[in-house]
Amino acid sequence: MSQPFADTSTRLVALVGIPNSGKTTLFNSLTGLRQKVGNFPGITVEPKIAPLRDHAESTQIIDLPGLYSLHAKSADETFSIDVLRGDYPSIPKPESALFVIDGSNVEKGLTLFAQFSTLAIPSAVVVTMIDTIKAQGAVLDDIALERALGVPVFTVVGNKGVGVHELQEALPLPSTYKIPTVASVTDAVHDHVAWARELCARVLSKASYDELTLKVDAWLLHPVLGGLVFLLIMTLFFVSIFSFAEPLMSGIESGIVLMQDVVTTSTSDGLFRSFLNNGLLAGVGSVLVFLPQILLLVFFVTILEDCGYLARAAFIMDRIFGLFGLQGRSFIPLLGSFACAIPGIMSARMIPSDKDRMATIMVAPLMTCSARLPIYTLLIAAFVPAGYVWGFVPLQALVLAALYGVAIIAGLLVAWVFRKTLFRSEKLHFLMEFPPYRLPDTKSVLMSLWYRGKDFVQSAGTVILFISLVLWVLSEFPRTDIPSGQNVAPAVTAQQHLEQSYIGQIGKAIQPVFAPLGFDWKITVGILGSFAARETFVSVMGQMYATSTADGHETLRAVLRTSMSMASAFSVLAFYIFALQCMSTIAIIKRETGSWKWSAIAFVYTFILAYVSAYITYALCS
Amino acid sequence: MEQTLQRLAAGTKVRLLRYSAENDFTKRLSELGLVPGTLFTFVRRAPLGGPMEVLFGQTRLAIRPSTNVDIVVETLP
Repeated sequence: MSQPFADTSTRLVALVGIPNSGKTTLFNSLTGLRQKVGNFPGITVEPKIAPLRDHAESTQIIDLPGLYSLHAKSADETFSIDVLRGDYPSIPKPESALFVIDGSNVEKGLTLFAQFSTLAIPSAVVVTMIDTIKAQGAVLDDIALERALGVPVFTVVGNKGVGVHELQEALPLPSTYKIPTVASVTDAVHDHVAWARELCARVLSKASYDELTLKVDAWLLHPVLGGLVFLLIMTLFFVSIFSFAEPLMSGIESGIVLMQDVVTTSTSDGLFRSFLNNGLLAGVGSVLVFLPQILLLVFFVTILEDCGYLARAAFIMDRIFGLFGLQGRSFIPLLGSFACAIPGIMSARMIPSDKDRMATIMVAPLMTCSARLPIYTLLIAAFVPAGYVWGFVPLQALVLAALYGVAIIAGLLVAWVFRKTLFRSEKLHFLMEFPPYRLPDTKSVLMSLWYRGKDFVQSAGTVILFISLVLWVLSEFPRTDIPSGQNVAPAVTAQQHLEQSYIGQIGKAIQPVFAPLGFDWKITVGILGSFAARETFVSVMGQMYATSTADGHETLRAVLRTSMSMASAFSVLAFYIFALQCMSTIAIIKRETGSWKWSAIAFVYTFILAYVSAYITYALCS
Repeated sequence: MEQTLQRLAAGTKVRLLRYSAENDFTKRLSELGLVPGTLFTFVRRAPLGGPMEVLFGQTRLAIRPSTNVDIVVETLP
């Protein structure tokens, strides 16, 4: 954070506006960055600071989360106001502001401007999405607007870059910014609204909501059809993620096996080959195999969010979530958590009520993130027969759906418990804007895929790879001499070696804790190894059993089928539905709640749920 | 005639008269432009019941008031 401000001659310009007003799109065009843009109120969860394109030395732009007033009602708004007042510790007070007004939402923008003008920050106004005004056959009188606000007014077409160049050239000049002079408005909100409404009527020939969106919503929010469409979209959402990801994942897996074959044929048996195959390649493979699913989830969530449907989903889900003490807005963080709890927990910032937000954060790790999927897929493929129920429902898919279902129900119940205990309060209100539907911007979708993919490989990936290598070392050493007589099969030798390795000793020492769940020492090592990241379980199992299947290319699922009992397998599944084995999530809970206490509570309660459910499952199955 | 918005049928055009109490919710509604005197349409309720959708000018909101606040309106012909 300190780097961009090394040069004090740099002007810092804040982008200010109501949520979903096109600030982020504008920020991207001004800086050349492509930050993710959502069509959902409040998508800018982290402030982005970047140099102005072509004027990097003189001007920096900061994209602040949207706000409706200077009386903050959510964490997002508090942050923006603190920065504007110069009260935020690590960010200097912006010298000037570019106030963004959405052409399809002029009155609310002006209402905020009336309040904003009291801060007396030198500013300019930009009206975005000027194309939507024209499309409705309306005209904006920007000269009258300029006169009324006392600051220069620019107009741009956000996505197409029209007008952006002029703005870019104007932003470094001090003369661009004027202190707003809003004529005699009192402090009262109804005066701000009256002023904005009057001005809006004067400068905009016609101000109405997008007709097409209203027509589409007559279907999508229809009392009966609306619910059915929602179910259909959610079903398609999950089905397509699994069916599209499957071939890509097996492709990556076969690629890794191919490379291991190459290593086997081109190196001699020994420590080096083992390092390449069982340490490095197994580790890299277990990272890459997640990418298809994560990217598909990100893709679908991004599309739903950018087009504006997620706001409708929140509207529809509010009633059901309300029964469990959550609200419609909780739907977005929780849906996102099916991809990964980290962005999910971060997006909970847009929930204005602190108690709703905390309850949402605390149950987000229960949503079945994509890291659990490899564990589920492996064990289901190994232990659930491939048959059909009622002739057409695949049994394996049904078990998978049940695992998701249990997680969702448990999440809602736990949220209810939290709202009755730690975050107790009366039922709170729900309030949200419906953005007009928009076509998702291809570049913005691609960029969010790129950033999330990169982020995963860098942060989660390095953890997984590191753990894989540590496990390899622990399982390879100490190198004891086991007499390999002609009558002892190599697999048996390897097995004995593993048992005597450090990891074998650790697993055996801790195994009694997990014995009631039906976990043997190998599974125990898997649980321990996946302590920092769930997905490591599969690669650890791969490493554990690869050692015992040194010859031949038996797949892991085939090996597991013969060496693990069905009761243990289901017990492991039941364990991972709940267990919060993810360092990154624990860290993000601390960051978002401001205390390790909540991380600890989340870890402990999920562990208890995991242990108890695995115990019951094992008892029932055996 | 004075009525509470929460008890009205969807599809009604109304004028906001006042809020029965003031809290964060009514403050935010005011900031969004729903101040006394505003004409708006109560478009629909969410499927399954729950929040209400209201429309005025360029603004479309989903609202579920906290239970202790009445949104007092008069219906228009």
